[in-house]
This record gives sequence, structure tokens and C-alpha cells, in this order.
Amino acid sequence: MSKPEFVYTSYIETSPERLWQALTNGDFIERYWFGHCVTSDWKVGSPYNAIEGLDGR
Amino acid sequence: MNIDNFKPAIVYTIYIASTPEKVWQALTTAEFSKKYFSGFAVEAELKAGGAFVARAPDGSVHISGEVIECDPPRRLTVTWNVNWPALVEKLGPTLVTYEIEPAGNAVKLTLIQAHDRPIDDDILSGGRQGWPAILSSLKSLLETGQALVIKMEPPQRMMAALKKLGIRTP
Repeated sequence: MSKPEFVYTSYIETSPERLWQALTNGDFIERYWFGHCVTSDWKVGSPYNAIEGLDGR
Repeated sequence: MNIDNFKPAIVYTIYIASTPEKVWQALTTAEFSKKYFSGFAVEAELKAGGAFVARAPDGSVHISGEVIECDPPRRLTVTWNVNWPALVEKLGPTLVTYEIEPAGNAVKLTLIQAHDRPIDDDILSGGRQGWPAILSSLKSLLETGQALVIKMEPPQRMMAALKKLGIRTP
């Protein structure tokens, strides 16, 4: 395991379940990550892809 | 005091859906700070050389300092000295700068905690734990009208390191 180089902490008024959904649901991610299209089934060993959206350009 | 000798030890940035004026007001008035900063009342005389104080809920002065730079609503630098016996003597003064920049329909708020000498990571862990909670709560307050209720353990690592240096903490 490599060593952390960047750590950022933020407190959010929500539940762990809703935050988990916001971090892993493609439709949700697209809204806050400048239109990025993220796909994965979030299983260990599965591929993870984030494709730049149009909003961020 | 020559602020050029101070190097940033902690930098924390957060984006807030607000205006620079409102963020400035939240950082510099007791009315707001009591809500997002564990009940602490910030009293700032907003001019270079003015007094900067944060009072605990019991009215005692917990943090005292001086306004070093004051450019509303863009930049505020103060000395931020926690009133624990021997703390400033052992660690030197702490400098805190808030930078406020417009960023689209949001405001970019950057906190910089700086020191004039190297400070141990164990001691900095206190600020690294505290600032995200304080500023996340400020963000929520400005965006929703309600500050956060955050349950947080005391900064044990920092307390132990201060004790080792002979700094008495409550």
C-alpha cells in the first residue's frame, strides 16, 4: 500500500448510507463531479472508469 | 512581527454557496461564530493592530491575538494564540489567515495556519482535526441556516504532545 499524499476531511449533514450512494451512484456523481460519467459495480477487483463530462471543459 | 517568517503548516479549502460578504461576516462576528464554532464568540476589531479574541461559552478568553491584515471581504490574518500557560512561549505565535475568493456561484474559503518554526505533527493534529469541523459547520450554517452538530473526540494526540512539552491544558 502506498503512503497517503493528500488527505481532505469534510463534515456533511447526512447519513453514511446516503453519502455512500452519492460516492458510488453514477447519476449522483455526474451532478457534483462536473458531469463525469463513472461506471463500476464496486466489487473488489472490478474495473473503475471515470470519463470526463462536458460540463467541466 | 514579521509575517514573512511564517510558513503554512495547515491549509484547508472549502467551497460555500454564499457571498464573500456573508462569509466574512460569519468569520468575524460572534453572532455567527457561536453557532458553528462550539459556542465560541469571535470578537474582532477589524483593522490592522486591532484586537482578536475568541471567548469560550463561559465568557473566558480562549484565543487572543491581533489583527495583522484586514482586507474585507477578501483576506483576514490574525495571530491566533490559545491561552494555555506556556503555549506561546514554547511554540511561538500561531498565525491564521482566511482567504475569500469568488468562484462562480460559490465562494472559495481557504484557511492557512502558519508558524514561524517547525511544529510537530502531533501538535498540528489538533488543527487538522478541528478546522474541517469548524469550517464544514460554517458552510452548513451559511447554506442551510443550521450549523452542524458534530460529535468529536478531544484531540488526544495533540494534548499528549503539549503535555510532554510542559504546556498545561484543561
